[in-house]
Amino acid sequence: MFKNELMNLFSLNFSVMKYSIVLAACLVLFAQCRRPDFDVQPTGSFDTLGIKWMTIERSNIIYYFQGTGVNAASIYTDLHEDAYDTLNSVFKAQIPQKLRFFVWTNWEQAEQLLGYSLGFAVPWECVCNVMANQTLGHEMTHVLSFWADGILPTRHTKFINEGVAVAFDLSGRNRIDMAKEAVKGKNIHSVAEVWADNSTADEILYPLGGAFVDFLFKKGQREKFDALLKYQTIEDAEYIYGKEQLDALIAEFNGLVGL
Amino acid sequence: MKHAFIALLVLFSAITTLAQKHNLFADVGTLRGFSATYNYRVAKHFGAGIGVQGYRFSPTELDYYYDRKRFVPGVFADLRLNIRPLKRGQMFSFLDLGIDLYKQDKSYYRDSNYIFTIPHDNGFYIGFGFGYFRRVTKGGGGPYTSLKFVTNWYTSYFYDIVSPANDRIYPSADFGVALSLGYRFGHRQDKFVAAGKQKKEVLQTKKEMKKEEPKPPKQIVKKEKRDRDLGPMPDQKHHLYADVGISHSRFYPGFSATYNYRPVRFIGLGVGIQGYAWYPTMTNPHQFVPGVIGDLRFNVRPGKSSQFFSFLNVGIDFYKHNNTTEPDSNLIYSVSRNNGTYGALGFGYFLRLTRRGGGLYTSVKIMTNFYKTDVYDITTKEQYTETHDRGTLVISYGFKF
Repeated sequence: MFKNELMNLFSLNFSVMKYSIVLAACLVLFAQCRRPDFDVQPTGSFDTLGIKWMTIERSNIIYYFQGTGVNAASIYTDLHEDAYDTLNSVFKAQIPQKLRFFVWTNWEQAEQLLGYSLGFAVPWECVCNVMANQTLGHEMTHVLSFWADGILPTRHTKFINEGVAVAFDLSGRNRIDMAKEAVKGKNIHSVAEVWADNSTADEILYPLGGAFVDFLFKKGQREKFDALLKYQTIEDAEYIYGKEQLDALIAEFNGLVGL
Repeated sequence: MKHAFIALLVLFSAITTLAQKHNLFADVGTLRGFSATYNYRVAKHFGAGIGVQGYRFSPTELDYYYDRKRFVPGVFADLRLNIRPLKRGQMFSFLDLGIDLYKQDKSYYRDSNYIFTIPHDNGFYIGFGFGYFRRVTKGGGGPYTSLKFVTNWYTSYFYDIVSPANDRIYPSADFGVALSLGYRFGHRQDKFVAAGKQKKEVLQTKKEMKKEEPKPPKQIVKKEKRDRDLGPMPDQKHHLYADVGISHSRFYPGFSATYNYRPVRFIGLGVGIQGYAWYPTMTNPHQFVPGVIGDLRFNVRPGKSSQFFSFLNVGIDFYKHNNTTEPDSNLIYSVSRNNGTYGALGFGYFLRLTRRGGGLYTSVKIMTNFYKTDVYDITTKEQYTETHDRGTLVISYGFKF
C-alpha cells in the first residue's frame, strides 16, 4: 500500500519535474531574446565643423556623437557618467561649465579638422575630443584634475599631467607592470630623469608617469598630492614632499619598476 | 520561482532515491565542481533524469575578457545512453539540457566603435560527454570516470556607435571541460538481469548448434546478415538528400538539397544547392546566402536500418560585397570582392531507413565562408590583403529519396 502511494507520488513528481524543466528552459530562452531597454535618448543635434552631431545631455556631461548608434551611445553615456562620479569624488572639481565630450567615429576626419590626433582634452574649455574606444577616465581626468578644488595649476609638466590621466584612466590595468615593460631595455636610470625631460617618448613617459602618480596617490598624504597637481615640476615636488622624502619615494619606485 | 524550482528538484531527488530501482550519479572533478544526477532507465540502453551541478568557469565572453572565473550552479534534464549495460565494465554517454544560474553584472567590452554587452542573467546550459565504469557491482553501483563539456549559451549584444544599422544580436556560447570521478548508487533492474541471462542462454544454444552445423561460405553469411537487418538491399547508387534547418546565426531557417552518387558502398560524391541566412563577411549584414556545393559523403553502417553519415562540402557562396568598413584598433578592414569560398563539415543520422533506402534524417553541420579582406593600417599607412572566414552552425531535418 505504502509502496504504491510512494510510486504514485514518484510518477506525479517525475511528470511535474519533466515539464517544469522544459518550461524553465523555455523561459530562459525567451528571457534571452528580450531586448534590453534604454532610458537615454538623444536630446537634439548640433552642427559644427561641417558635422551634424547627435547630442545627449546627461547630469555631468553633454555628449556629441558623430555616429547615430543610439543604443551604443546610451550605454556609452551611462559608463561615462559613472566614471565622472568616481573621478570627481577624488578631484572635487569645480568646473565653470558642463564637460563636453565629442565622440568621433571617423578618426582621420577628426585629425584633418582639428589638426591633432585623437584623443585630447582642452581643459580650460571643458572639452574632450575622443575616440569611442578610449579608456573611460583618461581625457576626463585631464579636465577634472585641471579644475580640482577650483584652483588652476600654476606649473605644468607633461610627466605629471599625463601621469595623472593614466593613473586615473579607470582601465584597471596593473600600472607597475606597464611601466616595467615600457622601461625594459631603455637607457633610463631613474624616474626623475623622465620627469625632468619633457621630450621623452610617449611610449615611456605615459606608462612610467601613470605608475609613478598611482604610486604617490596610494602612499596617502592627500594634501601633498593635491599640491603636486598644481605645482608639477620636480623642484616643486622637492618643496612639497621635502627633498629627503621625495628621494626616498623615487628610490622605492625605481626599485619597483626595475630601474 | 527559481528557489521553488530548486526546492522541488531536491524533494524529487530525495523521493526517487528511496525507490531503489533508480540510479543516482554523483561526481566531483576539475573546474572545482560537482554534479549529481538522478537517472531513470527507460529502456535497456536509454535513461532519462534530472540533476544539479556547479562548476567554476567563465560562463560568458565578458568573463573571458576580464579573466574572471565564477562558480556557476545549474539544474538540468539528463538523457543517457548506456553502452554494454549488462556487462561489468560499462560505458555511457549523456546529453544534459538545463539552466545555468548566474547574475550578469553591468560590465561592457569596448572595441573600436563597438560596445559589447550581455544584459541577461542566467544562460541555457548544454552539457555532453561520456563516462566509463571499470567494474559495476552486482547491485548495479560502482565508481566511474567521466569527461564532460559544460557549455553556457546566452545572447550577446553588439552595439555600434557609428550607426544603429550595424547593431548585432546573436547567440553565443562559452564552455569548460570537466574531468570527474564519481560513484553511481543504484540497482540493476531485475528485468535487465533476467534479459541478460536469457540472452546468454540463447547465445549458448546458438553456439552449440553452430558447432554441429557445417559452416556456410562467408559471402552467404554476410548477405543473410544484411537481409536480416534491412531486408534485401536495393542496388541503389543514386541518392537525393533534401533538408530544412535552422542556422545558429539569429536562428533563421534555410535549406539544402544534394544529389549524391555512391560509387562504392561507403563513399558517395555529389553536387547540391543550399541557402541559409547568416553574416557571410565582417562587413555584410545578416543576409540570405545561396550557394552551390560539391559533396563528399562517408556512410557509416550502410547495410543497417539505422545509419550515420559524415560529409565534407566545398563550393561557392553567392553574395554582393558591402561598401562599409570595419575598424579595429589601428586597422580598417574592407571587403571588395563578391562571393566567397564555401566549406562545410558535418554529420547526420538516420533513425530508420525504409527498404527502398529512403528515410528521415537529422544532421549538424558547421558552414564557413572564406573571403579576401583588404586591410589598411592607419599608423603605418600600409595596405595588404588577408583571408578571413565567417561561420555558423546549422541543425537540419531532412529526407533521403
